[in-house]
Amino acid sequence: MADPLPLAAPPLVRVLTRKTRTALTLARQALASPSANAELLDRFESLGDSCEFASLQNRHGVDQPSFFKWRGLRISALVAAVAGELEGAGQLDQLSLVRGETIADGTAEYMLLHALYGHSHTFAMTGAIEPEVLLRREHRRMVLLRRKFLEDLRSGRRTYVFRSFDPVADDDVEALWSALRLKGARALLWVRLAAPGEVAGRVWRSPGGVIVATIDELSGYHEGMEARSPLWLPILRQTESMLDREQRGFAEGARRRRYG
Amino acid sequence: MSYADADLAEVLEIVRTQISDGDGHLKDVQVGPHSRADLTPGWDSIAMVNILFRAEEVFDVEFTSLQMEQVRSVADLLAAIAEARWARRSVRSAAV
Repeated sequence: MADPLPLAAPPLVRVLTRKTRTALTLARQALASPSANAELLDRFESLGDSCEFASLQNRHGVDQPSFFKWRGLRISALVAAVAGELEGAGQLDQLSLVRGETIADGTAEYMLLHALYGHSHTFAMTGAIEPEVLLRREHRRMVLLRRKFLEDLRSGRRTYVFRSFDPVADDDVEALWSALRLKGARALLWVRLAAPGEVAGRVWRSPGGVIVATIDELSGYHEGMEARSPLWLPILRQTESMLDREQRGFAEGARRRRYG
Repeated sequence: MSYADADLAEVLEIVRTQISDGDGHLKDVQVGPHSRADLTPGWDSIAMVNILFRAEEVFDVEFTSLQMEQVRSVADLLAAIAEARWARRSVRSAAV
């Protein structure tokens, strides 16, 4: 959005105006209808690297089946997974169950471990289901979710979200975007912590084509699945606005080329 | 029993047996023709995938991603099965 203030405006006025605009944006966000927020979140799909974005979607009533949403895969493995079209995801002999963290009552969640695609939640507790039954169920899920992921990828229907708590190299994210784009993806949104001196809540397109967003707070890997930052929804809205503007620009350009 | 009734009975059985209460228990919930995922305890995305997979096996169909996402109720699942069957027939007719 163009800065409405003239360049000659004092710096303090500019800072206060930016803060006011941010506050107004967040206030408008808070007043947005739950259905509007759910529709917005439903247009994005999590690629990890934790369950934070999926938990944010769940909180707003969005719970679509997805291959990566409950999975924690580091970016290098994610790039290989996308490029290889999740080859091997449906192989039963690649799967095993491991016991997650024990909770107060002595039970633990079964975590599904795939030799290539890491751990994911099953939300099934020890003692509640036979491991063999659970393993067969999870195998069926992976087969179907793999098929769905590849179909969605080719359709370009969704914007993929990758959030990284630990530092991730720009090159790795660019590689992920390249792999996704080759398969038909519409866009990749990379959400990372704002570095010292950076403004949180900014969204921009990198030279390599990745949509980058800075955020003030991300959940750590051992902090459960709580998305705490109020900037998530504004970031998603800015991303959508950017993509819409670009799409209109492309359409207008095509129209002019055709009709002069 | 008509084909439609048979399909409904089959779908209800699939949904009923695939719903979990989140801890891995398969519980005997009451499911009817008007049941919806958002109003049925245990019918979350985990259960949804199991339901869809089982429905594909039982009815010998393959759902598209969009069809999977549009299933929010027993009625939606029946409609998706009908669509997928039609699509399967169209493919087979074209192959002849």
